[in-house]
Amino acid sequence: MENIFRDVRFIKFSKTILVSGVFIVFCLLPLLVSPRLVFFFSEAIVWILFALSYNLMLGHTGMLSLGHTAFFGLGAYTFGVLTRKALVPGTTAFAAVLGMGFVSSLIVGFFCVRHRRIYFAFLTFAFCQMIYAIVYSMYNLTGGDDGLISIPVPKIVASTTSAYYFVFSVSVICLFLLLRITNSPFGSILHAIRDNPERVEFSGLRIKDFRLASFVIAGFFGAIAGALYTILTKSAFLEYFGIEFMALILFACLLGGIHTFYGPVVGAMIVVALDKLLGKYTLYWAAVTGVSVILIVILFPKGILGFLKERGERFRG
Amino acid sequence: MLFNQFFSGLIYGALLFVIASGLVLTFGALRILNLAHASLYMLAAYMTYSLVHLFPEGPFYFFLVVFIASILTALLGVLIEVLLLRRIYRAEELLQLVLTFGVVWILSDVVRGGWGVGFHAVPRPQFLSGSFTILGYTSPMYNLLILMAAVVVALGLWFLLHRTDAGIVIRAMTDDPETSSSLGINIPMWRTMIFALGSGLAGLSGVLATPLASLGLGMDAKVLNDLFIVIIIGGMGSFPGAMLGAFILGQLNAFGVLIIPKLALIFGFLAMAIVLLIRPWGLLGRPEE
Amino acid sequence: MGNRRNVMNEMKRMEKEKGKWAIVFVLFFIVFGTGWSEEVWAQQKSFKIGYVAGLTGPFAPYNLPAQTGIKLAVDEMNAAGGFLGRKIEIYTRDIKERPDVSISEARDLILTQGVDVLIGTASGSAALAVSSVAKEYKVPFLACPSQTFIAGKEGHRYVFQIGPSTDLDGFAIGEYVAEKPWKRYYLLGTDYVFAHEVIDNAWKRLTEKRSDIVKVGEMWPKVGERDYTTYITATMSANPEAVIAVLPAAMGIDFRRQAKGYGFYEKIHLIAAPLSSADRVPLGRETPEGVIGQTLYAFPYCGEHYPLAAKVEQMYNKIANDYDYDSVIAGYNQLLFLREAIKKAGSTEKEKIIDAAEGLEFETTVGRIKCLKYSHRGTVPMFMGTTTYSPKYPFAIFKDVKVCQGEKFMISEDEIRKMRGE
Repeated sequence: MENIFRDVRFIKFSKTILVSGVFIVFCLLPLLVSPRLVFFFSEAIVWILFALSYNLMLGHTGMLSLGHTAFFGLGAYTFGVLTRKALVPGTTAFAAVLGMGFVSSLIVGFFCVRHRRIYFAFLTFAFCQMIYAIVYSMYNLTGGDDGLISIPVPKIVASTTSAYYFVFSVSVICLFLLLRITNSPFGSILHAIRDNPERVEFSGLRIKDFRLASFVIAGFFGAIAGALYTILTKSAFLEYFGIEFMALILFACLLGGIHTFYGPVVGAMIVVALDKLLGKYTLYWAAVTGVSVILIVILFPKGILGFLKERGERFRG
Repeated sequence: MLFNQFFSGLIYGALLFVIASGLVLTFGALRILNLAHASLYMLAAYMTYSLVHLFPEGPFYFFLVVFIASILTALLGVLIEVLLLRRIYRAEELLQLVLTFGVVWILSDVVRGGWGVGFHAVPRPQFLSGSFTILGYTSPMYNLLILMAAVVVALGLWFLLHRTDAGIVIRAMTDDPETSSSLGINIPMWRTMIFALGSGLAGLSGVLATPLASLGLGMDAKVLNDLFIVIIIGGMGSFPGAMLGAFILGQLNAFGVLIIPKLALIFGFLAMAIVLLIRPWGLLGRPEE
Repeated sequence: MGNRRNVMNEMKRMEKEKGKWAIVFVLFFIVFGTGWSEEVWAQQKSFKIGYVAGLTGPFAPYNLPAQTGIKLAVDEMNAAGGFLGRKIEIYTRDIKERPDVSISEARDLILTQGVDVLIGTASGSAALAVSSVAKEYKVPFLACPSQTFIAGKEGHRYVFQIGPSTDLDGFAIGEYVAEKPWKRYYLLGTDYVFAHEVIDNAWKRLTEKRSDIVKVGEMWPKVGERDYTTYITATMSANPEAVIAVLPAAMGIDFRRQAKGYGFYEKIHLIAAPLSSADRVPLGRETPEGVIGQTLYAFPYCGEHYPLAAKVEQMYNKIANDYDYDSVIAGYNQLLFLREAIKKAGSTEKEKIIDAAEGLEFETTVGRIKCLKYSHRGTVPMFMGTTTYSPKYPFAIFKDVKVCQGEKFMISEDEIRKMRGE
């Protein structure tokens, strides 16, 4: 009998089983673990969503943005400021987040996407820092360095469990949308732009427009992730705009594999675990993270899932 | 009043130039943007703090400490280049960026482990602790040292690049990496030496900066931000560019806090963005094909 | 022979592959294994204190000694039988003085360790953050050594501040300098809530008492600023007679040191707050004489006037060979407060402790103080003095110490009631 492990259909089947299994576990999580872990997984899911949004640019369109946390921060603060200071109801605030994510990424993207790789990276970084400076300066509105705390969230998402389900369901929807986008003809064009921009340019398509679209979609979902995080923690802080967070997300995507769809999921999960749990075991978590980063770059440049995928392909030979 | 601000901006600009010169050197010749450059600066500053306690007071010992700390930093640079950078010269920019960021993380914990989390202060050396008055404005004598150091570094680098054989090699590697590799020079060794020199410059700037302000764990991040702004405004591979960028940022900082203090942070990044938008290769850089 | 080499290469490659797989598995283990090991709860019987403070970051010089003070007290009280027979345990978390980390660590201490009390924080934002968590989970929180005014509209039943607060700080400065002949003032403060509150209060009290006071300028350098050149020159250009500078920790140290090189002290009288041990000792003999300073522990005055202070100084010097007493005694006082409240309550239940604490009077290292019933604040003193030097100590000490304590220096309970909207 033909070795069934090599059969493409078997691979697809086991992949589906794995994903479904994980999905079911996540659905039942509050029944399985303590509230503290439920909270931890809620945070992890937000990071996963943010990493996925980022990877649309990085892994699928070949755009290295260093300012993506700007949209996370804007999403978080839009929700926080509206509900805490303007006493706007939660649903309206959330809708505003969608608008803000779209508009801000459109504006920033318009200026940035026309430039090449390293300049694009620095431009996005500069814009992120400027947005950070503006948010910092508006102390009466945003709390500046102190951040916003005790943000009122709608009763239905106030408890740990309900917050978890809200974050989970929204993220699943976003993930599904991103999956569809990545696997669509539009996604193929993005991949082509990543791999061979000149060829795409040659065929008459305007690369700038597609890059801008990728940027805006990424910013849109990034802002949603920020708002989810604020709903979860009932607070918003300037650290959300920071380069440390950006570096961790970048690392998460790399770790998982930027050329795979689920890579950022795996990578973000590991990075969140490292970030939240490592601090308890060692004072020198930065060194450990640094060493891990270096090891990953040298040993697993394609990331974990990239490595597994390659192994899988070679196995099937 | 205005002259006071101008002069203080000048000093900070001078310091920034010394820090940036090493980064420009390594980026030009090795094509790697070493994010850990500011971390080397910080490490040198902390090493200075320890070294200063080993030696007695006096100008000779001060310069001895400057020398030792710079050499140690250069040696660390050699280590980093040989162990890590060599593996990623052919890798994509993204991986290079991330790897040097990993080094940043490691070095920040090295500093934390070695010197703790408190603030350390290095007093100004006795022979430079006075003040001088110019145009009715008093300034610490030490600031003159910073200015002198910037001038010495600038002249030294110019001399190195334009009047020595080593300079020819470095310029060849900067301007035309492919051709230089086919010329029969030992590229890997040159890379290591250039990186060592760049790191040594980072170390030098770290030492000089210590008496200006207390040492703390976040000093690498602050300097890194400013370094980005400087090299983008000036042009990533250009020394005159670094001088111009450092001068501009120094002045922006000095006058920014007078105009809109809360938003002062923004001026540097605004300048950076404007340059990137209209002339991405920097005011004095060259557009690459 | 080519075949041999191919096989060797293949084996090497397979070894490398195995190594990579191993790393993959280790990473997954980290994620799921460490999560579950957290589920183990510590001993139920002991009285658990959750200490949250920035042990790294700009306010570490205030937090680390406070932590020592708490530990000294805990060891002493455990030797005497603990709290009603329950051994006292401290669980420490470094919040890097960031409010976001404060919230997650405080929440974690409550949910995982089940702490009975939270103590800590130096900055106002971290204090408010932990306070919100304390309120959510109904766990008493003693803010220390944070002096930011948190008893106002964010105040509630579960937060206590047994230590000086910015109204005391500011009014003390205002009262003190109102007696001086100076008229032209420049205000300098680090751009965060504490400095803003102190300077606002100082200016309010100063201008209430003197109508001839003029503000010639103000500047607010950001938190973490190290280079004060611009600020020094700008201040001097405005020609003030006196400068009120509220710059904590390294920021104040950097400012005071750098100012010397510009001839600052020859022309201007400096009023510096805070000027506690962490702010004076690192500068050694570089602090100029004649600087007016504010501190929550005047050295060597307090050791000479309060018996408990002398005792704690000695306890501290058994484990550390320095003079960093100020935050140590602040931390120590928190445990004194807890002990007396528990003694009066006759119980270690959180609600009973809180009830007993309200209105409680007790001895501390800075004299007898009272925990006010509504606002949960302690009526501690603040000390104003002038720097001078003695051959005994390698750093600046205080002379002409004035003790500022009591109603004159604190926002009244009624005003606080109004702030909370009652």
